Amino acid sequence: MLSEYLPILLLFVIASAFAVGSLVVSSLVGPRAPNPTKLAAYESGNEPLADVKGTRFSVKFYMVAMLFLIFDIEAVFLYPWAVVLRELGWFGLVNMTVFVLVLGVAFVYEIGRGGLEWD
Amino acid sequence: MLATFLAQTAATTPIPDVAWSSFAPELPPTITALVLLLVAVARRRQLLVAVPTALLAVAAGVWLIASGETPGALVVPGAVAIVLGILAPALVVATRGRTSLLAAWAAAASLVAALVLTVWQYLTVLTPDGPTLVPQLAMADAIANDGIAVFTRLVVYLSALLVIPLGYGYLQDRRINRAEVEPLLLLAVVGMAALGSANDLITLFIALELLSLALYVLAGLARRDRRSQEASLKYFVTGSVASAILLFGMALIYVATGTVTLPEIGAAVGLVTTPRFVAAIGLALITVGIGFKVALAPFHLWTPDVYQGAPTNVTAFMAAGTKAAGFAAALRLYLVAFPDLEALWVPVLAVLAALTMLYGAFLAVVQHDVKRILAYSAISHAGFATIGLVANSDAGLSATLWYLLTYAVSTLTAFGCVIVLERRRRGEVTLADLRGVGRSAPAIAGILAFALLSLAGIPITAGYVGKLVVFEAGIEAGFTWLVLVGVLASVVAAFFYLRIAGMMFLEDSPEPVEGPYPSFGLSVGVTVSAALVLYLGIQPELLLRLATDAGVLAR
Amino acid sequence: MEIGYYYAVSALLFTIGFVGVLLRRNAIVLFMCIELMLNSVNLTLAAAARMWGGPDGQVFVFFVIVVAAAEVVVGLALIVNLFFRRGTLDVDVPQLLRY
Repeated sequence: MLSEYLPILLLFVIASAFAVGSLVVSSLVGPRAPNPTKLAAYESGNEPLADVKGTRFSVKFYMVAMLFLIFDIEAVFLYPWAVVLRELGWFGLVNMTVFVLVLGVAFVYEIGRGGLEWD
Repeated sequence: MLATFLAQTAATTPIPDVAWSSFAPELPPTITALVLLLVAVARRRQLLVAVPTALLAVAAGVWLIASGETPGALVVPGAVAIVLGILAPALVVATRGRTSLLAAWAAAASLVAALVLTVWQYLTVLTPDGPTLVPQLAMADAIANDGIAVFTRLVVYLSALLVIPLGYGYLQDRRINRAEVEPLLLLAVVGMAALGSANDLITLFIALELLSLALYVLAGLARRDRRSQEASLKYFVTGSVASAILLFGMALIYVATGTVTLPEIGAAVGLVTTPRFVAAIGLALITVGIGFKVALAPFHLWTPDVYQGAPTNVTAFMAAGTKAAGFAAALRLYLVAFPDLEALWVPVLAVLAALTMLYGAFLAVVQHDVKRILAYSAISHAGFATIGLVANSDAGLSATLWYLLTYAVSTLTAFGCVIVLERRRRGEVTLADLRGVGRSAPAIAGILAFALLSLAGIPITAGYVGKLVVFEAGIEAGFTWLVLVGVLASVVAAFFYLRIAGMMFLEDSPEPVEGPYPSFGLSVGVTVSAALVLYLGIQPELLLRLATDAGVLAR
Repeated sequence: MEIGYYYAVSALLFTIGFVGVLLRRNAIVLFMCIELMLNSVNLTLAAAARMWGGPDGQVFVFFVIVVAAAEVVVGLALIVNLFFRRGTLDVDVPQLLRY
């Protein structure tokens, strides 16, 4: 049983050995002579003209992303339920109703707190 | 492919029976949390939410009373539903539009209802013909209703009930009282209670996340206070990493055994065909995750920062509730799922317990902030509670549960006093600020000293009885060295706590501080919890017997 | 295909995520590392569910996905708030909570 996991262990060892090894070798062997031209941006990379911090996304996008994520992910439960709806019968219907009602409370709360108002 | 698979599974596995009585105590807080969210956004139309809720609750209550198989079987839950239903509009009218006051009262009412239902569940469902506990499994074995579950419910609901009056006054003072506080608190409580009865890995994980997510937000409640922000972020990062590690451990256990139900895991771990190596790694990862959540020694680094930065009422609740729920889950995990790996986890947990006790006791001595001192005391007490777990016996299980109850009431009293002192000083309290409090405010200084003595484990307090029971269980199981370490840690802690008490009563304060007196809620919360510490210290028989009964597992 | 490969990949992903949490200081990156850890668990569970052939593992995956989403939302809210308060996402910059 244990021997099945041997490849994993080997993979770990080889991967980490390779990573550490290449770093060590390059730092030992590679020549180092930095000068300003060498450190400058390469080829089509330009020096940034403006501060990147100036161009932020509005926090409203984050709000929408969060709200979308929450309600979007909950739909993951609806697919398996829809597939076996007939087998589950009333039991499934009642349970899913409760689930959707709870989500509905969250939705009403969200609207009430102004989560969907853009301005 | 998934569709056919699901259809086949649904056709072959019977629909689980929803035994609602197995989670009945959780229903009032859950529903109240949802209704309070609606109330929070209803503004002036609170009655529009309260009246339909009341009608539904009363109808459900009447239906419950009428539908019992034998007449009168479901009178208690029915009556609880009707009373809560009538309370809903009454509270709305009585609080006259002050949402936070309404939320506090409603949350308290739902917690009282949860306590009543827990007692009802214990008396009629779990011990129908006398004192012997009959553990039950429900919901396709996802929920175990046994001693651990009942006792965790009692501790958690009681702590939350004490925290609500403390928190109301405190949040008013700091002007961070928002309508979301109580719903979040209730959701955390439900998560903790569910953690105590979770019998499979999925339920356990969801319950843990429910309480953690609510507490992350609660820790950052003071949105304008950068310390609160920092505490919240630290708690979030360490907490979610711990969850991920725990989850990976659970996944490995599933890889090794092919089941998620704890008793089945317990049966499968012992089989020859099960790869013990994988199971052992899974167990190690689970131990790390649980260690993070209950703050055992190498995994405790977040605790002081989070406890200091979070609003004090949230800290109190974290200390009392999370510890109880986390240990309940740990007890069930180790004793039900991993009895065959005890050669692995017993020594590891014993070393962790010793480290935790000493570390917490010694580092408390060099702190200056009172909340930080209590945080290190929380770490140290997690070590004491672990002694019962490593004892790996029914007596040890009861001892841990009992210890968590005594710790919960003691720490709640101490934090309640800190809240009162913070109100007097209008800011945080350092050790130096405690000088002379015994002169200017003898009552609160006396209660704080009493709570500290209980945390140290001096006789006639709850903490003494707690330590006694845990040490007994440890010695019975042959962990004399661990108990000796515990005694050493207690002596260090006792010395330090006595010094604080001495500072309060014997030294003079540099400048007299005259802040506002404690509010009604604060007085009630502190007095009741101090009374509980005293009661458990001199009359422990009733609840200690319950804890002893709780040693029966639904294996 | 051998099932061990799935476990190997998920163990690697988990390790990468964990190392990332320890090393990175930007709150958003930290956060992505946590997601990586959770999703590596999903891979393990899905592979194991295939191996054992029961519904348990797949059900577990569903719940982990949902919980991960809830964590993302709470975490993002905390981070946005943090950014407003101190104008940086470096989790190590201000340390007020020390003794």
